[in-house]
Amino acid sequence: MQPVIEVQNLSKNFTIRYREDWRVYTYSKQAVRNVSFSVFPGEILAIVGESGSGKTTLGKMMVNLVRPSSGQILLNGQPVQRLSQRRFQPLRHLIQMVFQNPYASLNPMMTVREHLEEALRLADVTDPHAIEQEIQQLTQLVKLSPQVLTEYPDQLSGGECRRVNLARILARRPRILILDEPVASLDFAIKQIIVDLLLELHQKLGLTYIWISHDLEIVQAVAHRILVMFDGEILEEIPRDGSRRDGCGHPYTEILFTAAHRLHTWEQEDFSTLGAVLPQPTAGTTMASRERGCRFRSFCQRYRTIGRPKLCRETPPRFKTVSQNHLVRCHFPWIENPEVTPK
Amino acid sequence: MDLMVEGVSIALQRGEELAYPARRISFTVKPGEFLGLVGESGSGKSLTMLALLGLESCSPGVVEGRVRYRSEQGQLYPLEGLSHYVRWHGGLPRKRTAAWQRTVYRRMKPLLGRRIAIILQDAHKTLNPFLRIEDQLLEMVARQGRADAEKAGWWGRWRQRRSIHQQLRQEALRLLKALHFRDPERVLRAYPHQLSGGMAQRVSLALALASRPEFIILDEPTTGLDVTLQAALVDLIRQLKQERRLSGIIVSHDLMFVGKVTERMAIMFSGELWEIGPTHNVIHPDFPWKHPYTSYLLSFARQKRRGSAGPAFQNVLWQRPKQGCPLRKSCPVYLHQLDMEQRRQCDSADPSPVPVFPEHYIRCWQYAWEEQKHAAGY
Amino acid sequence: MKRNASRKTGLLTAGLAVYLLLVLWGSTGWFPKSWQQVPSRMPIYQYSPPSREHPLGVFFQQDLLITFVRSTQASFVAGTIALLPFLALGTLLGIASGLPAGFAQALANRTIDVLNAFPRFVVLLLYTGLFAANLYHMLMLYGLISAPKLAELLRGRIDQLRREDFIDSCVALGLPWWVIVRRHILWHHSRHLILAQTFAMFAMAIFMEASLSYLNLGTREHYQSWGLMLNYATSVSGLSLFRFPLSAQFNLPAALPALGLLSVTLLLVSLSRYWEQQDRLKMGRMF
Repeated sequence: MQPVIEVQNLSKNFTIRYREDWRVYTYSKQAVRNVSFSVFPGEILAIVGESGSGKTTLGKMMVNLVRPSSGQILLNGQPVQRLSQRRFQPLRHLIQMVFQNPYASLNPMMTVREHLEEALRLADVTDPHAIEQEIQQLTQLVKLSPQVLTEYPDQLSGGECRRVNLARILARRPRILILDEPVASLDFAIKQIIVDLLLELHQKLGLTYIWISHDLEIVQAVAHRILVMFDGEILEEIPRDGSRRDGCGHPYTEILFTAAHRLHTWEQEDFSTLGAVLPQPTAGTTMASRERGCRFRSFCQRYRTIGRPKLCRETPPRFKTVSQNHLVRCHFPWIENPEVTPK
Repeated sequence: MDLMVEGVSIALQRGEELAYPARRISFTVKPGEFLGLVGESGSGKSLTMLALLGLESCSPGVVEGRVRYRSEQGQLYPLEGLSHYVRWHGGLPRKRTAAWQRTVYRRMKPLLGRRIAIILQDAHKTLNPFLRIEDQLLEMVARQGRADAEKAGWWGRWRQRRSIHQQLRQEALRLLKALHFRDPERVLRAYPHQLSGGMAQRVSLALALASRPEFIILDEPTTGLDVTLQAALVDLIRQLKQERRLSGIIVSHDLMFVGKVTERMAIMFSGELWEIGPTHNVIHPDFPWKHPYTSYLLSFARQKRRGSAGPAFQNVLWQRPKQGCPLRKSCPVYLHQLDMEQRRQCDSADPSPVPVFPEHYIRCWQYAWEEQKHAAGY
Repeated sequence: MKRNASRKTGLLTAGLAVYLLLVLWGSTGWFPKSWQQVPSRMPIYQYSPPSREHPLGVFFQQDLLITFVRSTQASFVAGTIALLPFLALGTLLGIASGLPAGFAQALANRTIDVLNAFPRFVVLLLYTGLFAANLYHMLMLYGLISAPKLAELLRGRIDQLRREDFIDSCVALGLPWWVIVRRHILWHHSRHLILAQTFAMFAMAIFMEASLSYLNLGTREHYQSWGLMLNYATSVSGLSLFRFPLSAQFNLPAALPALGLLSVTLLLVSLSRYWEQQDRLKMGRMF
């Protein structure tokens, strides 16, 4: 099958300048490092990682809001990474992004109806009667009540606001949606409802999702494939059902799983043991000093238990295929017995 | 008792309608204990917390009740309410409530940022966008060592300014490291807009902890945080409780997170408290006595996979029925389990809190009947 | 709330209609014969009280109602002529200086700095000194050189809005940039700024016109203005217009042209208040 999006060796550097005692310092932060993956039509691809791991930047690069420093993005086989906003314009009805903060991504001075009308006019619906019909269809599609149309974004609840954002974007009839934290900071009940709505839309409209999230629990339930990102790098690619069935996994994914699992049970779990596994810097180490070897190793429990092998310190790990479609970027991907070196 | 809240009500006006986002809220927080205030968004929990500290200036505002904060020195800060005023005049005196609000603020102000620390929901808005994190954080760190600095005099302070600055900086770095920052030095130098949401959340937590408070109020602490950081926050709060005997209130919609760190939990919905009790009892799935709304919340929290959990409870903040239990229209127990006689009881009067366990109260008629039977000698 | 708003807009439209009527009247220059005939034997600086022929009386050998209508038109023309270049250049400079760093932004910023550096009145004096220009041209120039005021405010607003997510989401949706600027930034978030600057500019333009015509600078014809009247009044016999104790004889003629200005300002103020109220309703929370 032909992938709709193909990302090849994508990187993004941010240069940050700051002043201290009349001297200007510059440092460059690599938000996304050499990321490659492809998205197939009709798929739900999840990108999981902590805040600051570059997943939002990755999403913004795909809709041409942030320009990549190097690498390629192919949309339907067409390279788009160097296109100007105007050249990208015809592709915008193919790929759209739903932003993280639903309130901030609506203009607080415009009613919901005005937002929808604006988006519809972009999709070349100009006849007022047709606009009216389209608005009705859209509100039914995302299950908004018609009273909401006359309200301003600040009057909406969190769930309604997400729906309005969705409706506004669906007005352009995109094929691919990039969902940036679609259910973060929502109430438990509304979270379920929005997830259900998104899945229903996926079925009904045959959309492709790139689902950016930090919550492995939800993502596991919905996604076909999961990419785990850490500090701008993809550490693991987990296929739908084969997650950890083969007894392999990256230690970072392990941490994410454990944290999510322990937070979602009612029992008083002991978090101090988890605290040792959590990313915690040892004294004097920063990310910048980790250019050689595995970048994750200062946070890695497995690295410590197997006696800090030289392999981790010297060689940056490559992707290892541990089972079908399951790739792990670790020298020792075995969970049970990491001392056993992989064949 | 660290904080005593007795019968606080907050009113809001929209046109000619009145609504109470907090209606006769009472609870206490004991020293070294955390109270979790759990509810959906729009249940008035954040508003209650802000109003108790005199920070929210909604109109008409707090209309009755009193708040006492008792520090370890044994001082009392009584804040008398206006209930008698409302009772006599049959209305809400706007000028007087504003004055009351000012009084609350004036009395709370010396405590805020010293003994009581509050972390607001939107972390980016709590940080000054024009100052570096360093400038904001050192200011707060410097606050707790004021007494020594006062003794040194201005000349002493000026002579030792470098070392004082270094000390404060070290303290700040230690604080940031405890909050799992990868590169605290860089965070100190950054401006707020350079931080991500989770980082800003942790920085505001650091700001609150810097002044070494004895009471802390966290408003939706988990909003911007990843699961790993949530787990770290659980660990951190537990540590603080052990080391400093810190007490506080956590306002959140995340039942499971709150369940990890609090001793007592209060369930709030549409401006009223429905259940308050030991956390273990409230969230334990096998505990027999539960408010219907609590079991509704738990049904969401417990199931990991998707699936519906029955019809939602309706928020009756603005359409509160004149009589009877306000939740009965959407209460599954009322709709499916009760007979006519019992339903009539639910229609007739608002339930009052019933003790089902030591320090565990539930506002539901089901348990009131059990109580009556018990008293009658069944 | 709704009733209140409609009453306000009603008042606003009525006021605007009256004002536009006066302006039209002034520009056609049609007045009844009886008003235009003034007794010629009257001393020039004497005010004659209202009569049947002259509803507001006569001063400086001219019917005061005619003066009022003409001066209303004059103030309107003066304000408008200064306003249009002011708004155009100000908006342009504001948008350009709000762009991301680059050549256009730097150019706009330096233009603002340069325009700010010269005193406006002196620039106008230089201009007349060099070209002996028409008053209208001078007012247009005045509008152009006061554009930085608006541009700076717009720059601040754009800088503030650029951080907001909704601009990003508009770009991602595929809205062209001019729509984003026009609808999302200018109309929905900066209209108060522009309106406030508009009436400040209107007033300043009329003041400038009065000052210039008092100094007898700039050429004009068939024109009634406060400054001109003041000039006449002081030149004829050294009498001052505002005199104590207040007497209708001298103060009414001076106050009438000012009335036109006052009415415009009040109209604009009420419009801005109406918008403010609307926006407060929009931004208002759920409660």
